[in-house]
Amino acid sequence: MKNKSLSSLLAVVLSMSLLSACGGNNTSNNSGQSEASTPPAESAAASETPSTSEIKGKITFAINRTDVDEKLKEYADKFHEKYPEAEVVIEPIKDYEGTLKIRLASNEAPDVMYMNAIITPTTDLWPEFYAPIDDLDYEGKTYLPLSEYEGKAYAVSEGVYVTGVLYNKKTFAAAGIDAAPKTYDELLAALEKLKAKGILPMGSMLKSNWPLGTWETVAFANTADSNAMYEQMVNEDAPYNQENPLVKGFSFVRDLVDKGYFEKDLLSSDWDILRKQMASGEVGMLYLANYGLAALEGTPAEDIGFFPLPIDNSGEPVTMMTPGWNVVINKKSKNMETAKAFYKFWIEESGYQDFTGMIPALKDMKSNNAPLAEFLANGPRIVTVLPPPDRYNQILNKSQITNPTILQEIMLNKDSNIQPIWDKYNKKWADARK
Amino acid sequence: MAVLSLRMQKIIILWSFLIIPLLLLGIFTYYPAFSLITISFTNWNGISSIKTGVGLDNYIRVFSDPKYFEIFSHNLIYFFVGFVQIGLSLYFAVILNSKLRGRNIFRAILFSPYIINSVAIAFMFTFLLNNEVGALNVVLKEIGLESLSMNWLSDPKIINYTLAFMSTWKYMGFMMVIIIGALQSIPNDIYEAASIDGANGFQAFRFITLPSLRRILELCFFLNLNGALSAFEFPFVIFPSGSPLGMSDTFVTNTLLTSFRYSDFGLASAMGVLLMIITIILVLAQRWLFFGRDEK
Repeated sequence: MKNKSLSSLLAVVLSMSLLSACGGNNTSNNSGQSEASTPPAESAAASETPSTSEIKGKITFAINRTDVDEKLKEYADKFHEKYPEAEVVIEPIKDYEGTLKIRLASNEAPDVMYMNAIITPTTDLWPEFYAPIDDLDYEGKTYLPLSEYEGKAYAVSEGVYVTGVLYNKKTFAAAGIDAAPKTYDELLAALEKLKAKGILPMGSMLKSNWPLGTWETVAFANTADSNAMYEQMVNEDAPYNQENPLVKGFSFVRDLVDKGYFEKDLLSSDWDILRKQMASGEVGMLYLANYGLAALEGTPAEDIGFFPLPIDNSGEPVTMMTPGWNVVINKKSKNMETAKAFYKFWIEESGYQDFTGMIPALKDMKSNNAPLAEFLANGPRIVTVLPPPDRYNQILNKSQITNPTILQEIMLNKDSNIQPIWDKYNKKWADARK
Repeated sequence: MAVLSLRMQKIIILWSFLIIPLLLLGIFTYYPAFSLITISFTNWNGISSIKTGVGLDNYIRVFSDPKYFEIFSHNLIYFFVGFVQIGLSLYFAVILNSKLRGRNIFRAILFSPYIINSVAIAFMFTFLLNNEVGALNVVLKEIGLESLSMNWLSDPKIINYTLAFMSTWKYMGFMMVIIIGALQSIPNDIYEAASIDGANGFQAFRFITLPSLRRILELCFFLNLNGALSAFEFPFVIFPSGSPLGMSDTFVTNTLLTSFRYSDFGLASAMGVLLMIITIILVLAQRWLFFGRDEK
């Protein structure tokens, strides 16, 4: 008996020593890292002015683009050049939202990162994870309001998107369309001409799902801003009625389907194929935002055109302005000053906005993208589409509704009677509101 | 220092060898499974530090909405196509176990898809099976069999078969290797005795090979059922945000969307626990159905 208890004691001691060996290894690793990332203090004091001497050390920034490694290295080098004692590691991540959510919850988040309603589902989580950016003083300088919670600003979007129709000027010329349509009738006439020429008039990108989010914004074309609709919807049990802007917007799209301006086989319509077909003139128009300008592979830049979607016959151009990714700083960042310097750098100096065809976030910065500059020079009426309130997201999440999925269903419906679909979603909505 | 008894030495050695695998098993299998069950009784959104208990609410939600279980009709397709896979791997295993010239090369060729990353396979097949520019439809058109060309990855009636075929293509070689291993353990003299008694090739297969493979076929059936119930990799890679009309969603892709898109980790955990229970029940049922009667 005594022997047995001794043996189990020994076993415990042995296992503990093994465990502590693992632990010991870990801590030495950590300290090694922090030593490497903090440059010696005396050089900082000697060579730099006090204000920039704070900006040193290594920070990380997680980005969702995994296809532009060269460019990312360029940005990191540019930052290092500006702040020689600081260094940024730009980490490309596939499946961005899922990965960042886990890393945030397990305290492994990068110093600077993107944020949206999938990563932090409610705004009251912001103070728990993100650092306020009030001292960067962006209030009032941006196109779109900052993301604020209880009087503190947490994020600014890295750039701004405006919705519009992308086309190839050569394709339009070949189909006998002289100018970009300005009214709904002109749009239909142009689509008809393309169809007569055997060109696919409008690419739906239905299979890819996310591009349908652009059609969602058509809902707001006749409103002043998006939040009025959301506020109204969260207080109703059957929000998808004929007065709802979303229902009206989706009916607009269904109408184009009925007129035969989209693919016959909508389920095969894929963004990755369509963006290349733009160059060969197989597709006439794609309704997207300005990010599409940088993504039309193979189409020469001077041939790319971009005009606001005419939704009625008033002739007044209207475009919906939506935020790009919201950039935030991790509250637990060890190099807060460096993170803030990088934040400022990314928004104002990196040049990433021009590279991706975005409009820079700040009003006094100009876009260097030619078709975009032309688009804005025409002075379209701009409707801002802001992220919906928490309550709206909560209902969507609980009922597992996403607007692109509803639109897929509406576009694929066999006939133009789409009321049963709305009835179904009204019921889901009502169940989730309980 | 006192001399340790033989018993003591045994115990120390036993523990020092066991502690690491046991720790790994505990950390990576039992602890997550335990957390899964705990989370399934909360309404955790995946990130906040507060998890509020909601009792059986999540389970009630799964059972009160038929859409969660209707989706198993897609998994059923994977299950049936899986039998084709078992048949094919048995066929190739028997052939490649005979004295065939270059059999090692054939084995390597058939096994190699298993090593390729699923994401790469999914991308490869989306190019190959694209309805307009994909090689398969182009070839069918060129040789005059245009009537056979289909929207392999966009027709709701076909897509699940296509996806199930993709996993057959990947896992067939793996199953073949398992079966070859079992075939090689059958002593050759049984076959010799049978051929002296005048048994032909098929009789030898029917009365010697198949009964000897019973255990390993049982494993293959289990892998097939388990794989069909938890099928997710190809539909998930091809439609990361859910397929149009849910045409190729499976129970697991739905679970993933519930957790990472709709931030409903409580509900998703409940779905995970239910999948575990369903798998156990069905595996036992299948075992009883196919092998139960002659179980010792």
